[in-house]
Amino acid sequence: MRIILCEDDDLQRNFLHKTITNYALFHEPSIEIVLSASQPDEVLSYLEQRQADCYFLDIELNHPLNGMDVAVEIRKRDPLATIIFITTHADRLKLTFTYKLAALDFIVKDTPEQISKQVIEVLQVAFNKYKQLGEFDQSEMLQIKIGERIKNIKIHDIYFIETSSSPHKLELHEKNGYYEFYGKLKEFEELAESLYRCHKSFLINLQHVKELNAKERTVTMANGAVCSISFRLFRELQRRLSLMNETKL
Amino acid sequence: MATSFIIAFSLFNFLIIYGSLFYIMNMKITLKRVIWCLLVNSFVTVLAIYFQHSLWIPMVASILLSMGLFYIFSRRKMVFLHMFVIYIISILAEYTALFVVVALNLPSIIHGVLIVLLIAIVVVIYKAYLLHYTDKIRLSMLSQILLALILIITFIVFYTLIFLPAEKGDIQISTINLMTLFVYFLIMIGLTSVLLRTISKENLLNQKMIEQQQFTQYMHALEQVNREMQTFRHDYANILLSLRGYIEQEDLVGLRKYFNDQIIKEEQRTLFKNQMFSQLENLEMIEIKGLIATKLLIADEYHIPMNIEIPDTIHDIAMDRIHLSRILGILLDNAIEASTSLDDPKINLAFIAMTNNVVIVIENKTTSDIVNSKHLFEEQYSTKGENRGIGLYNLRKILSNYDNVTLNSRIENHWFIHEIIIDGGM
Repeated sequence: MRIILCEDDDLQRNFLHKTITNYALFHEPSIEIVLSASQPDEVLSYLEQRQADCYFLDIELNHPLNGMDVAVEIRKRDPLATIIFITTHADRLKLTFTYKLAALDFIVKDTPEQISKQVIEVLQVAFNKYKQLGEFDQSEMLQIKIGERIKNIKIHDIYFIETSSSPHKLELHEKNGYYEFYGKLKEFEELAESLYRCHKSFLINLQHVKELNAKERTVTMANGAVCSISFRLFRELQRRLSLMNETKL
Repeated sequence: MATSFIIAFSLFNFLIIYGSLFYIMNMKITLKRVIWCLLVNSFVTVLAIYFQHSLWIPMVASILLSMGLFYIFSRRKMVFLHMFVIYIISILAEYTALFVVVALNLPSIIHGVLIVLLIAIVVVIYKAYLLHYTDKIRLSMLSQILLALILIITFIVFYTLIFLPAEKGDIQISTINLMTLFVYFLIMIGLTSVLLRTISKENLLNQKMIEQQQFTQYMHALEQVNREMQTFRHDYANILLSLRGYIEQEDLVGLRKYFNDQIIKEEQRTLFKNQMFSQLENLEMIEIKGLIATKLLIADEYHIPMNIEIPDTIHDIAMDRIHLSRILGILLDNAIEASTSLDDPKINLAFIAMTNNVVIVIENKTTSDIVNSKHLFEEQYSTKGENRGIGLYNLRKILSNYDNVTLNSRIENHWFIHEIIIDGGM
């Protein structure tokens, strides 16, 4: 994993450099710092030719460009790059970092011990993300883009997706929340074996079915929500559910 | 002869009524919908053949059935209004055409062409009229019902005055009635447009007033922050004196305590608030600014740190301002209420402008780590007991009117997060 560091304060930069190289030395030799810059221009001219995987950017650079501007440039070139901000202002721009620049995390300038602890934590997360990038199994996830941020929703956690009263809008109910996005149910039918389109307006996750009601032709999901089943698909739904239960046993 | 006339007439009717409805409501014409319309229409035709001598029965059936059908298609209550308008238009057009044909002794083919032409023209005008006013006027449920009632009565009056004499062959009376009604209709159109204009003006005025109110609130909030800064400056001399006292006595422990407890805390709070207010300057919507400023002060009263991030200037958001302030009000009230019972509360609010949309994020710390999406938007539900969940229910109801807005609500790492994504605008 190739790292670029941009921090105008020499002391801070050297400290960060040392912390990262130390960590790399003892834990992940494949981590290397390819550029340690004091000016954003250095980063930008480096980007003209090459890219890195992970960027540590100081927000408050003593320069017309600040760290956020640099991040915008990086994002333009590499939507997947990992960006980590370094800031003195606690978490004052937390949401901007995550939604506008899809930053992984930020490090608050604190005592040296605190900083190095934060750096190591975030390095571990960044490295895991980097490792998974190649082998990331997208079939297990449904991705929603919110601003620049990409939210991964585990398919296993989805209860059901339904059509909304507005055209092209879908509503997704999952274990920890509720999401709306644009699309058609058809696009998600093939996403996983466990998703079943039991009605024109409902795509349910068979794993979370609590009970079937044959009389009303409805299905109650694990969270208590009730979905309709179309007349001609009731049998098929029953068959799939029993099939799934058998394979489970 | 009569039967074939009825069938021809009903087909005609079918094309005109359903065609205009599809056109006015901007609905997609799908095979399924057309088949349903055909079915309803043939049913009405059969009724008409059966009740040849009391045509009002198929007429009423046709109105009710098509209204129901289009309501199912579109789920919009405006269908009821449009339906009657179209019926009135079509009756007027049919009879105007008839009288023209009779008076000038024209062939019957002209009659049909004339009808279609007249209806098409009036429907197009009607739609333009609608488009012109829908943005400016919000009709309440009551006024919608009243409007529908007026239309129904007009329709019945029309029917009895023109249709019945014509059916008995009394064309003369019919002609006179039609003339009268035509004049009446013109006057009505004139009066309604005056009425609509007044309503839209009043609406505009109301909006301005709300804007004014919000602006005043914002000014008050700013003044308060300013006063706090002043007080701090005023206390400066006293603070220096106390500091000197500690220093002279070389009471380092007391000094540290005084400095941390009295000065740092108070100053940080004031400075923090000041900074949050400066973030608001990027929001160029005065109503929203006022609302957030007010909520910021309420949160401050409860000692809840509320962080505001508006990194880029936002001129406008593609939503009705009144709706937007209601939504933000609901979410911020909920966030503040949920935070009052926490030891370490925190609220974050951000308006983030992307190239094609604006993302509004509101999040507050929470102790629970699971939320049931089924209950979240129910009328009575709240994580804090009964009768408090009205907010989110209303929120979703307001947002359901917008095709360009999506909402996400979830709990993640002990944060209760709401994201509203509004496409377009800025």
